[in-house]
Amino acid sequence: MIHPQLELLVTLHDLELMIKESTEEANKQEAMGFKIEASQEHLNKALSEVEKQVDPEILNRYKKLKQKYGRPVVPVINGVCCGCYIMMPTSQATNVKRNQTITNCGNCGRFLYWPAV
Amino acid sequence: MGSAPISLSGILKPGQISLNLKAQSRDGILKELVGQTPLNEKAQHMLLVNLKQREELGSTGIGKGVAIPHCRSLLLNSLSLIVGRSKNGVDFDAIDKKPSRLFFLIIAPPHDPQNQYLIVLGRIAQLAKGLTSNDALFTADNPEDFILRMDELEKKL
Repeated sequence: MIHPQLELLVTLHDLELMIKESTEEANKQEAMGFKIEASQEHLNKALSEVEKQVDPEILNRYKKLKQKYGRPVVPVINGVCCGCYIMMPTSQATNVKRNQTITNCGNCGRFLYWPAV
Repeated sequence: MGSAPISLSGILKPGQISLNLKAQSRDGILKELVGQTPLNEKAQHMLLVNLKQREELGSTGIGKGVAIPHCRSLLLNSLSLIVGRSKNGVDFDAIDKKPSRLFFLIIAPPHDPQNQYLIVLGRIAQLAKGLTSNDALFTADNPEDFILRMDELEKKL
């Protein structure tokens, strides 16, 4: 299970990353033989649709974190926040309801996501 | 001290290879490939949407019967390589307009300090360019033989 708002934040993050990389890495990917269209219109449209569904307060926080850190949602791997590399408190790291609630790192404030192995 | 070079045949495990994909369409193939990731149903759906959006940015069908759908996602914490093969091939809007038969799905986490994503993507693309239509990758009967052939091809890169 994943909290619906966290699902939207992960989607937003992945979309923004795709837009960023399709711009910055287009030359590298084209050199490998991939076609990259110049138009990112469908991605920007999808982004805007997702943003509309995010709770305004959460979206506001997301945007502030993005401005501050670049990546507002980070994975937790081996109990460590991959944004600031601080070990989560045991209670948070072992929380069986991870991803079922919106959680922020107690140190850097980034939104946290526990990915599959 | 540098890290060891990435070996595709080392990353690939027999359980990640499906040599008889059933789907007849691009989206169906993507769904079958995503179905082999260690993600739950909800996360698989999120990944599928992401991959379709990437395809709309430009087909990952690089010709010679090979397509390499790929994206980065928070959903996985390490690079995942999944291989699928379709007997008749499907239209993937490939560069050479021919059906794609062999699919390498690459999903990488955003947090990728050694940039394995681009290295793996580049190696598979390079390997695909040298393939002939009757290469053993298109005919291998089982995943183990497929990996052996990958290993041989990689050594020639």
